[in-house]
Amino acid sequence: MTRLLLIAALALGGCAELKPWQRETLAHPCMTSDGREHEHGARDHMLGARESSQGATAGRGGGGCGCN
Amino acid sequence: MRLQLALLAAALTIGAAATAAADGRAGSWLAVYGDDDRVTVISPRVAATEEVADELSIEVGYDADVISAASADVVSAASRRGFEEVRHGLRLGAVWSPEPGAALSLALVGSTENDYRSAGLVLAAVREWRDRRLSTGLELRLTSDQVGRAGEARAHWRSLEAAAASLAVAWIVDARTVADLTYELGLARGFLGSPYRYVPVVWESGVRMQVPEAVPERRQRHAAALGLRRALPRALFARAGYRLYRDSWGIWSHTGELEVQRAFRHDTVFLGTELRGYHQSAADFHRAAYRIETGMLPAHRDADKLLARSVSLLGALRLEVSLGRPGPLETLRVTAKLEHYRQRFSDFAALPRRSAWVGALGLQAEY
Repeated sequence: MTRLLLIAALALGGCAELKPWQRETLAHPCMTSDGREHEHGARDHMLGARESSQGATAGRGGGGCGCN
Repeated sequence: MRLQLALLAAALTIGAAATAAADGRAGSWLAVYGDDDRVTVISPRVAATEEVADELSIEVGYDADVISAASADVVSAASRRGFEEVRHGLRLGAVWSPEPGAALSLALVGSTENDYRSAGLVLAAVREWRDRRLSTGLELRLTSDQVGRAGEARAHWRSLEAAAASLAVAWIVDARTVADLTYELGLARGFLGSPYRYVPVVWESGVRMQVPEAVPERRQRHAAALGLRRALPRALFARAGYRLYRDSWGIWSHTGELEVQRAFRHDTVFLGTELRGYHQSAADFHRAAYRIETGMLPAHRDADKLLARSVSLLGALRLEVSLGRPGPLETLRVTAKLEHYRQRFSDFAALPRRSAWVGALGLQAEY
């Protein structure tokens, strides 16, 4: 867990500078989870009944960083 | 009855997505699960979000599971004939966005079925920082559940309280890459087992019998996930993730996910494929059967597949098509998905492996 946080801290230090037009790629529908809440919710619900681990599924990524 | 409910669910699903009104969006998802253990689940979901003021929107959602089960496992644990049941879930929420890149939300969630009731509260805050190159999300979920057996008097039901807090961070690595990090802590206290499950025990005398499952009344969960989203050449997009999980019952799990999508026809058609692998260790106290040599039953005992060592693989194909701006709608998108799920259990003779298919259809409209 500590290693993961350390990696995150190092990566955050390198947060890229972007021009507005460079955000177009990051805002592409395939780069966000917008509109896929039902799909992901249904998948998590199905797996939650069949596997014992839960939590942190939001790690699949969505939103933020001006991607919306 | 099951068919009628499914048709009603399908009608609701299509109706919600087609509803047109002021600024807002509506979506639906209808999934049908079927496995080789004779379990079928039809799961519709509908939700709508409506902007009621400049900074305020409200959301309402409904979901259900229409379950039909006649598996050897379920029949032996729950009833001789298997069962059919319906779970209904409801969500009511509000989102306040005081400025671009910031939002606070509050939602009330609840669900009911013949042997389980759940009520909860979800608080969430999202904020973008550093010229929108970094975003953070905090979420707190509190639930209070009641667990019983179907047909049992409510006075005999037992309670389960749970709380979960998660922190999610997303940041732009470069013009084509976004990284995600999520950590979640979950705490639960109360009745965490199943009133239907029994555990085989063998006494020193050789007598064999089944006794009720008994698991600890507290559970602490930790989960951390790292994800990467990257735009590749030729309109290809990839998403990869890894999740590490451990809990106070001794379960460790590793989950790896990969999704690749390709956009066609000026970003109106998206074709994607997903692959997910999962490994879970068994709970410390889990056994296929308990041999009693001290004359005392162990305080914690479980023989169910959920707490057994298991491995699963999931593969999916996904197609999403944008239908432009039909009628009064701003956008209308249709998604179809087919998933195959295979699971293998250790120490669970009643069901050493399971294979399932999930077909799903979704609609998303903005208006």
